[in-house]
Amino acid sequence: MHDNKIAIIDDDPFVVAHLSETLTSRLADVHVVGIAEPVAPAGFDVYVVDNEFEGDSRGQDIIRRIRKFSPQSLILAYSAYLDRKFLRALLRQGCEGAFDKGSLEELEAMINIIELHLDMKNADPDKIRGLGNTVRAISGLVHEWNLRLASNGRADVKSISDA
Amino acid sequence: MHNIPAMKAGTSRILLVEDVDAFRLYLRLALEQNGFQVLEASNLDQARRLLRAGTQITSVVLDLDLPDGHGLDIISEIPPGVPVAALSADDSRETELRCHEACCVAILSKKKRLRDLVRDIAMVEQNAPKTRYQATLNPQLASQYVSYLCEARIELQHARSQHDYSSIRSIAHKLRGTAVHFGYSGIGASARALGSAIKNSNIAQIESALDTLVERLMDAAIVPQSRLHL
Repeated sequence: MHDNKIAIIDDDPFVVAHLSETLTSRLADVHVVGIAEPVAPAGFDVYVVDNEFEGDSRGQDIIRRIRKFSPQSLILAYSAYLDRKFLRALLRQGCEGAFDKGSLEELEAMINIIELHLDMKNADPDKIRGLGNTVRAISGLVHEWNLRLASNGRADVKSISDA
Repeated sequence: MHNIPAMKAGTSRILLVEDVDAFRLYLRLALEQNGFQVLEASNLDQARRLLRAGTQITSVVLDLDLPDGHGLDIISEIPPGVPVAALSADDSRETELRCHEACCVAILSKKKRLRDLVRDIAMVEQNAPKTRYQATLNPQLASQYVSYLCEARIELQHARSQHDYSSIRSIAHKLRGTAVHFGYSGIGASARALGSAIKNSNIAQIESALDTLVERLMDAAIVPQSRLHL
């Protein structure tokens, strides 16, 4: 049995509660922890990070700190407002992707990416034939998302394979 | 011709708080004939005891003029998300506002015919916020969110009166990120429009977006078909 740890760093209790329930119900063997403070805790496989805490933009700093001590973790920004400048800044700090909180479709895309990441982490290396494919799948999903943003005129950020 | 919405017997349990015995009895019988379970309380004290015992209820029909106090005195003791319909013969604007501030989903007029009252209560039950929630999350969370929407509207109106655009932006930001996931896509879209208007510092757009958002927040808390003064 795998123990996949996911941290949701967000000061909105409804975001934490909703996302916790959704991830727990959709993904196998996950332990989801909600963190309301703008901190960078160690020991998680996946981080979902809000950008604003009490009106201050703290997400980039949190992501940068997590990336320093946890290069293998998947870090995703989950924000209510996304624009090109913000997305570029997030990717520069080591975030793999950013998702719009106000969209059901982007929640789906985010869950898919988390699932793929956890599958890859838990895969038996001897049996892996598609590790590279999985990495490419994650890249593809993020790239697809980025294209969608670009087509909406909101961003043209790089995919993780470029980042 | 108004049809009483069909209800599944046993799925609804209404706490009816009314001190006039004959009126309470007639209303209870009429509700039971339409498939509702009814718990009766003739005053605030009885209602409190039922609530404190953890009695499961799906809505409250609450007379405002009770022998041991005002009906709204008990609002804070009703579990979050359980819709409350005020029952009153008083059609004044003051009562309307007071019920609105207390987040009652409707004001039921005692001046109406019994059949129409039952229809209105059925609407409250049928359109209770929890039933709007389509996702697979637990009903308690959905109910808490409805209460949050009510609080957000009050905070938004207060911030607007103070021209506090920082707070307005913050409230819109939170609504933008959560509303769609709880089945309120219109609120999410309005909050997004408000956020954009604030970013652009366009006062006319801000005012217009605020109007729309407040209206949608009110719609979320008030059963659409029943609104105030049914």
